[in-house]
Amino acid sequence: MDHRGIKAAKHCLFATLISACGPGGPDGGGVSVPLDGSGGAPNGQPVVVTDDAQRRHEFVSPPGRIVSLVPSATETLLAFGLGDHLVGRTEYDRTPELSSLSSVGGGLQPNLEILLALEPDLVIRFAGESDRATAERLTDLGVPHFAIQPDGIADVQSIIRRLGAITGAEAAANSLLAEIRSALADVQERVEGLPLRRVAYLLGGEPPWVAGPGTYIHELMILGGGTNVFDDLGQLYVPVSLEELIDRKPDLLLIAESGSAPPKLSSIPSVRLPGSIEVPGPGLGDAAREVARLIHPEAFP
Amino acid sequence: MSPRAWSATLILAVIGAFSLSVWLGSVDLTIRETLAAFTGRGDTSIRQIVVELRAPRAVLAILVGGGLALAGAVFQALLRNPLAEPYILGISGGAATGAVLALALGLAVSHSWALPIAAFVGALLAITLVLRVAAAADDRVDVRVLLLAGVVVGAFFTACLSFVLSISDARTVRSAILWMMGSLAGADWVTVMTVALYTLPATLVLIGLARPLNLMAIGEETAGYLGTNVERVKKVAYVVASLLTAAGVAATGIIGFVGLIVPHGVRLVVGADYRMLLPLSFLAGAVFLTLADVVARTMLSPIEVPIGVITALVGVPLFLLLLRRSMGSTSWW
Repeated sequence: MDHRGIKAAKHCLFATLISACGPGGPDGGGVSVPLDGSGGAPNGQPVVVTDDAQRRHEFVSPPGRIVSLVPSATETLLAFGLGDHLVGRTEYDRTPELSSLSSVGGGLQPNLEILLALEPDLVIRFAGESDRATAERLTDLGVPHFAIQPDGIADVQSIIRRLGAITGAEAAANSLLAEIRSALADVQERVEGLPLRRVAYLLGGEPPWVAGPGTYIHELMILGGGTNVFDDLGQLYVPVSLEELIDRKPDLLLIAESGSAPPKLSSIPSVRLPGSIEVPGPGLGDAAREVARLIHPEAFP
Repeated sequence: MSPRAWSATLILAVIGAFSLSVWLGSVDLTIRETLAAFTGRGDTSIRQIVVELRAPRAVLAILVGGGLALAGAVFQALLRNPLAEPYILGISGGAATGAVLALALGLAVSHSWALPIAAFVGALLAITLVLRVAAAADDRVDVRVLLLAGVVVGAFFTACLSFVLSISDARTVRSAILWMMGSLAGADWVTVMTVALYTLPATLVLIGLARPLNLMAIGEETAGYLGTNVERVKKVAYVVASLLTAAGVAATGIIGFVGLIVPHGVRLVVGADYRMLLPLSFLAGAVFLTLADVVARTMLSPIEVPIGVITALVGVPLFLLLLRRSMGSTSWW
């Protein structure tokens, strides 16, 4: 492989990290919980939940030894106050609360030896094609695994709801969801009627990789009163030429935490996003507010 | 050391490398726990780690490492070129193109066996194409034409590969790059059995070609006078060594340097007699790749270093050392 290929791979690695992986349905799968909302376990009624690989799972009791390979799911479980149910972490989970746990490596192609030794009764993994091998090995080895695909705003909410059902933390999940919904409604209200600003999201690289429709950041831009100047891309992240970028006349460049604004584009205002915004997880409400504030500072006095 | 002593040493080394490989890993196990896992006793998760994760990986490393080194030795003999290695005749390009097509078309999502099969078919396509071109003029295979055809077919497939990658999405590119770096992480017993089905017969056939290859090293004409069916030997050597490589590539992706360095190293130590060189290359390749995999798994645990990085980082200095020691004392060809 030549240098370009490897460079591209590095960016993709990063892109995958942010966007999760695989196509997976945006419908998010369903939950059927007994109507009394008790979380199922006490009265013996199993909780039935569908994951983003369209597999049905039955939980007779909430799992007590969880390894989450998806950082946003880890954050969600922590937000539920279930930190003591987590028995492992990935290299991307930097929370001090988890630093004493063994790391299984990356969220994709995790170290299966360490994972097995942790004896989890549930592994939460990325849905999709990037790591099909891990899913198959886990099935072969008899480790239950739940696939999620946190790609967009709706996915994030559906995942929070389902994780709440599985872990018997419906109350915590519902209050988190209510908080997110009110934050999103607040953002929408503030930017309503304001002129749409033309925005591009740059992941970094040379030529720079930009986000197309279907990405979390794209949805946040739209919600925050912007338009993505690359809303016609067929793929999630694509490298584009500087010419093309200039030609699309963005009013604002949002730069990923790891990226940098191309010096030749210094005439276009740019702002760097904090890394926490880019993880589609329980921080959704704050992320939406922050992106909207960067696009329309006038709406957030 | 006599050739027989070398054989015995290397067979012991294969056993030793296998033992190290099932004992060492990201999870610390005692020797007692490792042995207990093999007899079906002990903790379930330890048993799974040893029997389902480490053991198939170690066996796959033995088969693929041995196969690559043997194929490399045969290609060096066949093409009479010290730069020859198993991938030189376009197999890697063909296999990678097949694999990437399977990824890009989404076949690898719906069927887990699609990627290795596509890689294998791609390799077969490259092998057939190269042979057809090299034997086009008359029925004789000119090894210089074979080499040239191989390199050109390889370049063509690399172009196809780059084209497919350039129009693929980021996820496909990521999976493809990881595949091309080579890894033994996908090893399970089904993979091991499939690869063994190719490797063991191919190894026997190639080692059986040692005598004619010795004669052909003197010169094709001389070999012909001495009763060798030169054309047949060349074709069999090419096709069987290629199939051996293709089976390995399909299972593990592209693992570089083993097929280049190991046969040369063995040649520097035991000389150019293919009756020794071929079997010893297999054993040395098996030991080398198994140990490289142990390093790849444990060095930065929990993260795995791509095994191709280790084979190069460890193999190249080792080889240079051998080269320097033997300089002047051994004639190269």
